[in-house]
Amino acid sequence: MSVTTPTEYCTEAPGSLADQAYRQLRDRLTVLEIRPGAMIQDAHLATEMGIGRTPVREALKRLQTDHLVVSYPRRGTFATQVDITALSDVSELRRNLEPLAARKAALAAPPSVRQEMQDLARTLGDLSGGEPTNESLMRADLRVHRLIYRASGNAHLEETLMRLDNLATRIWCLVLDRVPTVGAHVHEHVHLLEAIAAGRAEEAAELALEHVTGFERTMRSIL
Amino acid sequence: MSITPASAQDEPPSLADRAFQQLQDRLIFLDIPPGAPLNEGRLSQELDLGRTPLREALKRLESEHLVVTYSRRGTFATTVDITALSEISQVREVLEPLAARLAAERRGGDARAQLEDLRDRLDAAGNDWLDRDEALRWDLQIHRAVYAAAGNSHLRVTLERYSNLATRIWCVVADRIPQLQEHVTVHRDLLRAVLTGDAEEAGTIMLAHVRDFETQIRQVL
Repeated sequence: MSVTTPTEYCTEAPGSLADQAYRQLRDRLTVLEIRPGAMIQDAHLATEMGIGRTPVREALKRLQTDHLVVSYPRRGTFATQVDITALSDVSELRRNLEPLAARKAALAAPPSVRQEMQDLARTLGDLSGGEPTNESLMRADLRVHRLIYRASGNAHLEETLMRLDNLATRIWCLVLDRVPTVGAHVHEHVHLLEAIAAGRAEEAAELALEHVTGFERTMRSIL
Repeated sequence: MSITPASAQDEPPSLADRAFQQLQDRLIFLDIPPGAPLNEGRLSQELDLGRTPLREALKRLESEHLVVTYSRRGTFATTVDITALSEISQVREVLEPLAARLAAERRGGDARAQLEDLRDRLDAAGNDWLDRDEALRWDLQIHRAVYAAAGNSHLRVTLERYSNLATRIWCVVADRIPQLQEHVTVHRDLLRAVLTGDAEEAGTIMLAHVRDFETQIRQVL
């Protein structure tokens, strides 16, 4: 599956309507397609997505937990502002958890998932070869992280890392136009995916750590 | 900007916050048994709380995996997933020592007074046996103070979620576990390491503590 398919940022199983609405909205909020501070109207979204208001409302409830939307009684629901000051705290957590996920994925991923990673690595290679838009690179980045978290085989680790990654991605999206090295950053994933797929756990952990610290360094230099 | 609600820091807790804390406590310690339905009307009366702040509290509890709401059936305490123990422990084994080290580096940071108070109270308590609930409450209080001392609100929120779930698992199997005496000594050592700024020691103690916790539970499963 191409990394540039608009709604495919990851390969989670379909689930209920509320689940689908949640994932779509989560991703739109993460890449700032819905701008920070924008008002969110459940009726409007329901029409747009062709589903009822109830699943949309359920989805919005979950998104509040993820700090992607905020609800004020009587005023409405809004996409949260991007918290740039969270970069430091979020990075500290990711520095400790991303290597764990990469190591576990390298050790425990089933063959089908390793194959998925190799395919994704190849697609990324092709992507960087062309002239990818920042948007397509961002989607690729999300896709890679989520595949790795899922491959770790630890649902709690996956959930925590996804939340952190979404927060970090939002910060990144805010300043995307100022980042000269997006392509290189996303290309790093090729080595990481290959190491995990090949079962090289320590190398995977090191690459994952480098990736997070590199990201933070880049962010600091432009924020 | 911290992700902790402002009310948890400078302003007095809101009605919803207080309801959240109370319900969270009852869920962790199994006063509301796993799987039990939560009746909004009754809780609203019991906690003397309007439906809106109550629903806010329930939403937060759901994100903490302590309750689950089904659209037509209502809200229930989640069942305790003991098989999640290993997953939760894996995360805690990384994050708890991190929190302890950070807390020590800051010598308790904003939570220093709180940590000193806990240390004093622990010293005064001596080596008396603690019943299960007391020991677990001590444990939770101390961990929470360490998380607060680490100075990373995302770390704190994440660790609070997992220590709550871990404590709840403990409560489910606690009748089969002998006294939690050894935890008292560990806590004293941990607090001392944090307050004196010995980050390496704090991290080491915390890691051993979390592993020991998991081992004790596994032995009685």
